[in-house]
Amino acid sequence: MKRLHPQMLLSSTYRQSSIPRAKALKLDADSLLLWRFPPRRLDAEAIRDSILTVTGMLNRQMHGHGFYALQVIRENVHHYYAKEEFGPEDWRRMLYAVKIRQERDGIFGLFDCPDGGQSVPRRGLSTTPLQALNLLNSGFVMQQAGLLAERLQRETGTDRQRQVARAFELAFGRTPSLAESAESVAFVEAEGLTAMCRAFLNANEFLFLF
Amino acid sequence: MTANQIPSAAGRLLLDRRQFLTNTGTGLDSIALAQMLSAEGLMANEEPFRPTISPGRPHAARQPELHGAAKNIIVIFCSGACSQIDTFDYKPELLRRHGDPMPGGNDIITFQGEQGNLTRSPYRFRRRGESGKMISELVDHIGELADDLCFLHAMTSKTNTHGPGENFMSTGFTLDGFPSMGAWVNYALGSENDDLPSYVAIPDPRGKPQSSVNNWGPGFLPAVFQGTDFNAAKPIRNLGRPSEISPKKDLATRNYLQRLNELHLERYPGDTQLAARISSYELAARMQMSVPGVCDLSTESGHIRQMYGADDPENELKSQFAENCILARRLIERGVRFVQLFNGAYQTGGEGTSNWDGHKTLKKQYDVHGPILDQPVAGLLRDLKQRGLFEDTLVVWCTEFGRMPTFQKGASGRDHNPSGFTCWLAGAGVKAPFTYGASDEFSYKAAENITIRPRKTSRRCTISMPRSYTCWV
Repeated sequence: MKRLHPQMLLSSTYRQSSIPRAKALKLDADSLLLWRFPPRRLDAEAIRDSILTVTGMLNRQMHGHGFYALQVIRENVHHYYAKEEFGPEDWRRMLYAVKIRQERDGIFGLFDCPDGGQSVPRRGLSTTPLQALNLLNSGFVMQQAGLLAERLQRETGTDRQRQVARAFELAFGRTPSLAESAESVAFVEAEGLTAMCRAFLNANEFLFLF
Repeated sequence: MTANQIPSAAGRLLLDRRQFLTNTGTGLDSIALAQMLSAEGLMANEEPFRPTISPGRPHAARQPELHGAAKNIIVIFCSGACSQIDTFDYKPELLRRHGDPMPGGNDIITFQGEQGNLTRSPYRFRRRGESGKMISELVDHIGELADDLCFLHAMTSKTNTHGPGENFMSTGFTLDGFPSMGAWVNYALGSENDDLPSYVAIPDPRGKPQSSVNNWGPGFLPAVFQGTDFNAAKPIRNLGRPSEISPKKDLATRNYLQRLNELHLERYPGDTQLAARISSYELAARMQMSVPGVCDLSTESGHIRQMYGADDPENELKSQFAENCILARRLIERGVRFVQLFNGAYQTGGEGTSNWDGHKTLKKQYDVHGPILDQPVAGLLRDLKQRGLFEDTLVVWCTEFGRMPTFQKGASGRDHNPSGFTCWLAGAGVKAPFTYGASDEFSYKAAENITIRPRKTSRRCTISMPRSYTCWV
């Protein structure tokens, strides 16, 4: 296997850029022939965990009981409601969220995360307006956007440019171009750091693998 | 087709055109779906129907091959199993034999145990409409519309348990994980309205039905075709901007996000997934505009609300369900393809309290549930008629399964009965007044023209996943 790995990783196929080429797109849009890595949206769990990683809030506690991503009301039967408020105990990896039959996470469930009653050999990868609304407006994401803004301030002080650069580094794993930096600084000046963080957690670059 | 779009093993089996109706033809959905498909000329074609789905507009209306009567569907679903004996299936023999043991009754396997004697309905029946259909006083308002209804008196189910029963009626399978009929219709035909979810499930004011999301789930179809659940009282979650954000800041943030995404797209030109995700934010913004509009019932005039019974000062649940019925009409009016309207919720507050599961005290519980259902549904039918929506909207009234003609031993309610029950159809393409099928003399078993029974012979239906399924939505 070890010998095979370098061979694969050093191959020209593997090292090709993910940038789409018009001709290749026309012939094989889904990249069945692997002319590039087919871009892929992150799964529900990876989106949630990535948000928590970027904000520095991910609780890495392993083992033990899971956490409830839903509010549970025990009556004649159990009722589950989407949580509106979240704290550190909710910020473990989504792998540790208790799976409930017929119920999905109130925010990330819509990202093709099946409920606990279904076995799904392969998940779908949908893109829907409701996903957009959940990422834009949910209490979970709003809170994390605030926490990301706090982190940026903590780590870079009050220099807008450094805040923006750090945000690009954390969320997208790269430094911003001059134009991006200038636009973002102007936006932060006008609307505040939290607003920029809210946009970052919704950006395609944050949610897609290339 | 990328790996993510290949249906599961069960999916492939179902999508095989020879298997499709053999399997799906076992639930109520086969009636609605077959109606839609035959109306659209999709039955028994040589070539499978493969909808062309654009990633950016997955719900765009797809051109059917033929134009039939039904363009939209409303399914009114009574959770908990509404008794046919106390509503629409009149049995004079049951009146005569009231109090006798049911012939062969000792061998009956029921859900909760031993059966008592044959018991007539506590509700009186009388002839309604010009057709003279015998209908119970429990659903007096619906009875007024008897001449618009087509009754199916010989329905059967494969299960006597609520959750699987709901699955069976909504998906054709007792197990979880199969596409709901609305998801199939949505997948095949899309919707006339881009700014609203094309498939809406309206849960009862008291909560969701027992099988919950399975009733409107996508199964192995792409998740975008699942139903969106909201009702008049509880809008779509996270639809509105957070209260702490001003509209101006919200707009600025969206524009900035759009800019980030555009810059990113410049580096990956021609990527449809990225473009579709950008367009999903535009759709979301349009939905934010249009959904509050459709849910805002304040524009309904007083006499319309009255017709539905939406302002009953003595019956809050009825008023709330009536508002859900008004919402259903408003959605259909705006081109939403498929609306499921639930009456009754999962067991809240004890057995039969929040739904039609009248095991122990049927009269007491149905005296509550009947009025909640009756006038609002009649109001909906009348309103559809007066607005000319009746001609292209198929209305299906159904439930999980039926109930026994006997009372349970030592109780005054009826046990589950999957052997025979009643549903009705109205509206587009429906023959009315008409009664199809009949149960036996006590309404215990479906006897004549059994509407739904697993079929051995496959009636071919040609709907299938497209060969090159480039819609990754």
